[in-house]
Amino acid sequence: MKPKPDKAEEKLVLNLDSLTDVYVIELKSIARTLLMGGLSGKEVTKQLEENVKNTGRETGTYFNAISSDVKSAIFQIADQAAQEAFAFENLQDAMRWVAFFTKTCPDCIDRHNQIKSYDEWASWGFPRSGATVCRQHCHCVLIPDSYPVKIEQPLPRERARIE
Amino acid sequence: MQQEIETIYDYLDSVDLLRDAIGTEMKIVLFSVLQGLADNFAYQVVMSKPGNNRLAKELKKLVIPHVTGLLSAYRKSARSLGESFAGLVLSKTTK
Repeated sequence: MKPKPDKAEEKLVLNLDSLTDVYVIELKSIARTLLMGGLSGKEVTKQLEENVKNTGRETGTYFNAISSDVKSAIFQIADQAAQEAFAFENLQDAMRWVAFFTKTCPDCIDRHNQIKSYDEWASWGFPRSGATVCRQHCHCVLIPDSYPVKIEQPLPRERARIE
Repeated sequence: MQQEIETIYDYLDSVDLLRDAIGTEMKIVLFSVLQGLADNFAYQVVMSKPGNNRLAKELKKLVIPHVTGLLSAYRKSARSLGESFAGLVLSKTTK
């Protein structure tokens, strides 16, 4: 089964839709609270401007959530390209889940070294699909079982960062 | 360490670096988008009535194209990382 193209973008747009709704609701809630507290409309407008311009708590949360979703989409696109290549070579009958110790969640530790077909993993949930506790922060990979690598325990890993 | 494991580490590292790059750029883009509309936006938030979602719709119209545009710009690099990883895996895979 080949992954659908642009699924990452589809998911991203859906998430953006909800995130934007929540952001506006939160700003409106702040405005209402301040107005009910006796501040004038002008003063409340100024406070909200500050929140938006200086990336206050609500605006910062909105930015971080979008940034996190975009980062997650990048992983999905890369994974999709890799899985398409494995599918092309008919290697998706037996795919091994490999977990790495970066803050590995219990679900991923359980799944480590398990072998299932790509379609079975589709129903269990792929890495970063949201099916595990670590959700989109997952750093596991699915590789063909015939890839010659012996990994009894999840591997330790230091996450690469831009310096 | 086995070279095969190193291949997986390299893939995850490369994707993480690309993710960091897009994440940082995303925040800069969003910051500039919201800077441009802050005054009017804040005023509209204060004036809008409960249940009226016009403001959220307008913000989506502005933000979503920027986000998807940036994702498109990085799509090729992301796919290329996935394809290179698959290529390395396939070169060592027994059929």
